[in-house]
Amino acid sequence: MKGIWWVLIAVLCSLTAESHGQRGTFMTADEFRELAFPDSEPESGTLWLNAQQQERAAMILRHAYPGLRVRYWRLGQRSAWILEEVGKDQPITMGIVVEKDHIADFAVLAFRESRGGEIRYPFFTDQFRGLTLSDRGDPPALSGSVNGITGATLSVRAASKVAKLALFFHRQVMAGGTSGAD
Amino acid sequence: MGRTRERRTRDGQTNFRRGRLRFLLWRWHRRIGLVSAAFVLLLAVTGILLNHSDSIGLDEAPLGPQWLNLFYSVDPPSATSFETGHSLITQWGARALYRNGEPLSDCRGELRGVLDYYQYEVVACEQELIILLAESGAVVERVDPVRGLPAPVERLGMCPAGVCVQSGEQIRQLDADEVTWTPVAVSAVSRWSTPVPTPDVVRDELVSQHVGQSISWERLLLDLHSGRLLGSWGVYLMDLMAVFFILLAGTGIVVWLLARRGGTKP
Repeated sequence: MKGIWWVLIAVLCSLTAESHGQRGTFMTADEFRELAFPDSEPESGTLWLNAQQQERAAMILRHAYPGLRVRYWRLGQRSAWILEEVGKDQPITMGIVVEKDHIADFAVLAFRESRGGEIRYPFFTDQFRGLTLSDRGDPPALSGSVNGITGATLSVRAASKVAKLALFFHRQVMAGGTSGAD
Repeated sequence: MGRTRERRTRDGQTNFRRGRLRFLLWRWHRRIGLVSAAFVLLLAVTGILLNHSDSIGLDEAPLGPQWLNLFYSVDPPSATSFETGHSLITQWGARALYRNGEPLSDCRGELRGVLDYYQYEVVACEQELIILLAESGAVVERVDPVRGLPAPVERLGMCPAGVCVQSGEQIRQLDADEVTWTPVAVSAVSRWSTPVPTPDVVRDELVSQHVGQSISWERLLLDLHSGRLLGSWGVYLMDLMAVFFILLAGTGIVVWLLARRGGTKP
């Protein structure tokens, strides 16, 4: 009988350790910049969102973008963005590299939720590579599907929203608009 | 003749026993009635109000902070405030920030300071810096440890070329336009942001906005009706009262029946 209790305690401990193990900061902004622009020095820029862009961003996120300006790095047709979106109740910090009109790389920089941390692994993030922003549909959608992860639905949804947002911001910057490099 | 006397004697004894029983029951009926009268009134009034709570709006009307504190002993959460030239920033509870009493944003960790910097207002929490437009209070940007914020932030100060934060031994100055950090010496800090008492008017406004909204008058009536307002003992008390009501009904009927047979009223 005692043995059963020890097994139960061990299972509970492992579950707790697993949920804590999903949280963490895996990459800093500087490390992400290095990853996005290896051996080169991108220029940093700020995209001040006008009313139309705010409205479009709100359509993608399904809530208002929580700021008036967005920072990015840019080198030629390649840009890198660090964006946040709440999964269940904590923000997930994600880095997205966009080249021309498609996603070149996707990384989770910080994860603060207790579940859904699997979205930081390559088997999930690699799915975003090559995806573009489809003009069909309102709000705009990604050009391809992203497979979900059981138990991480909200984190997957947050990652997809952020990928769309980065593609949208990249398009604004490349079009000129109100953006400009500092 | 003897039989008749015997029967009269037996009837007399039976009447005497009935009379005693009736008197005893009547006395207890009165006592129990007296004790339970207040509860009958309470149950009747709350019952009528509950029956019509939706039509008179009690199901949606919030209780209000004074009543909440009186009946449920709920104290409002603590408030921490910092003041700038433009505004008063208050953290209410664990995360929520308010600017001049209006909802502003959530903030990660405890509020550590607020300072004006040109057209911006910089709000520092333990794990996050929020840059606002000083004039409108609109959130411009957030800076967290991923973007180099030394965390946990302990203090927010003013340095020669911008705001600076202290975390442990290190003090770093923020370039709010570039969002870059430069280490500075403690001597470079001209002043630290210090908390101010939350004005009563702001505290009252926050209390009225948030505390007491979650519990309706209908809920209070239900808790009064069931006795749950006093916890588990209240429920037992109401159970006891229910037993008293059963006894009242029982003793009332028996006293009435005995009186009918005896031909007299108690």
